Amino acid sequence: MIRRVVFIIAALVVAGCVPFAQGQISSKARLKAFAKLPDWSGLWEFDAYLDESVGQELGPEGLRRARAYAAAMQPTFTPEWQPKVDEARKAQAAALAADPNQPLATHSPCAESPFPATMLPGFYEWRVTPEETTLISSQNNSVRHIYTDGREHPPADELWPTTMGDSIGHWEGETLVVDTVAMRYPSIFLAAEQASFIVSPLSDRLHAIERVHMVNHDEMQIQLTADDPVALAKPIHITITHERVRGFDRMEDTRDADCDVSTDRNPVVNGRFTTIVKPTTATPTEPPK
Amino acid sequence: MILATLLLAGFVHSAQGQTSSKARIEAFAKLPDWSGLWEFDIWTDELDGQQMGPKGMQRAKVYAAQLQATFTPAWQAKLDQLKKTARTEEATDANNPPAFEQFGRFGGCGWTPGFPATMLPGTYEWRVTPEETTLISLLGSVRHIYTDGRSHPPKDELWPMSQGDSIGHWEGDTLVVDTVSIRSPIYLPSLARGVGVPFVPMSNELHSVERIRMVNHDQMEIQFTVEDPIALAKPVYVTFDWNRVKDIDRMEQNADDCDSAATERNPIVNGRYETIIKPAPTTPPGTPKSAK
Repeated sequence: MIRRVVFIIAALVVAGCVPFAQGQISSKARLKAFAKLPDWSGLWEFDAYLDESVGQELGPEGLRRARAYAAAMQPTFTPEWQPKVDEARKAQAAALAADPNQPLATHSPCAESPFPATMLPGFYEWRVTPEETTLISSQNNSVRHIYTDGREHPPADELWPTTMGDSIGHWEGETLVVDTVAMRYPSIFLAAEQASFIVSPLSDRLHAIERVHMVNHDEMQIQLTADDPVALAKPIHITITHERVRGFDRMEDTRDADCDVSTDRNPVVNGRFTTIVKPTTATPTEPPK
Repeated sequence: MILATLLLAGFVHSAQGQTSSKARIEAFAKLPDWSGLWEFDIWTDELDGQQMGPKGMQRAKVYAAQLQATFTPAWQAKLDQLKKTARTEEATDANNPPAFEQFGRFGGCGWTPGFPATMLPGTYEWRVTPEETTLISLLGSVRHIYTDGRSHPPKDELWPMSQGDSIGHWEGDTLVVDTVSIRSPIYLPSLARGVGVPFVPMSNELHSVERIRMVNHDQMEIQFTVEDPIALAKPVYVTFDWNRVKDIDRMEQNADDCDSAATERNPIVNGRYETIIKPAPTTPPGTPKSAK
């Protein structure tokens, strides 16, 4: 009897149907799936920020690329949505006019950056495993969970807009195809000025498809198709590039407790990004006040 | 011939393919599968409003008994004042756990839970790969635990940050995590009370070691050792249990851009947690005012 039980358990383990006893190592099927996935480890950066200056200002090459992206995109908005775009442009233009050398913090200082969250300053990290790919941005801990386990989006009565929306994906060879719906406050950039992107809101009816693949060891490409029947008269198509970051070895987080980011890099001060390399004074051992 | 040899040896990526090296795949095969969602067990029978249920309360009291932290005299005086404020706050609504602001700088829009961020309500997700294990909390914190053999940065490149600097290594199926340089204040639950878990700040000279393993398919264990020469008279040892979450299939984000209460689960409303299963019907999403 005992022999039979041992044999059955062994057969299930070998078949990859159950985790390996106490060890809880991956099933054979999971390992096989992992071996097919690309290795996207390391840190990545939107190429418009590659020659970023102090204060997260676009450098000359970044500005050139950002303008090329803006020219390639040319979104056409619906007449109903156009006033929102105009309003956003006006507010951002006024802020830039007030201080043209500082990039705009276009969103709430401590908020996660909403979808698509792939065109921000700072670093990105892809965490790829068979059941999910996670995209983590150093900009306010924006985390996108892209489920690749074959699930569907939740049914309509369980969906409501959230910052990152609901993302599901599948692999077509080494390309991750991501389908995202139910986004809250999504946005897209319209133009690039000296120090900043000019951004327009989109509606939460946005449906986005991204095709993400690593072109070579140092470059990733994200093809974004954005369809929004409320905001856009026709879909947007844009392909952006992320490049491997070479001078840094760790992710950081711009958002900290209580928005008091005095000890992290790239905090937002008075609605604008700044770069702090290291705090000049620190009294780390003082008891709490 | 040379390229083929290198490919077979796992030293280079497979041309354009960029699949993992043989060494990386072999390393992944040795790691435990911690996929899925997890929850600190005191919140397992959580009630509406992120209030601990009877089982959770029982567990919290067990943890509190284990903890029994002894603080240095200078630190104790500060904590006494903090606790006094917290009791006053709780007395105003005993059935609703206060959000954490009154214990220091906890809570509020845009707030990210500081280290250790493993004892909070809500779900957690581990992302385990050979070079790193990442711990993501629904409440908005992300801990990067590097397991590629690196050391902490040298002292002149270290300064306190909310999650500190974590490095780890695997001892069989156990992830051993060493964390330093955590920005003060960080928090440690001190004792279980009526409805919430009070947390106390520690200094950023804290050094912690966590030993994390999956006990079985539905349970994880975190052995937590904390030393803090400024705040603690002696080290603290506690072992936490996490349970697998079975009724939720995806991570969500609690922290949003300060007006999240209307559309996210578990927002903080008037300084207290609320649970919203689904927002009330509104006008079609995204409809601009001019189109109504």
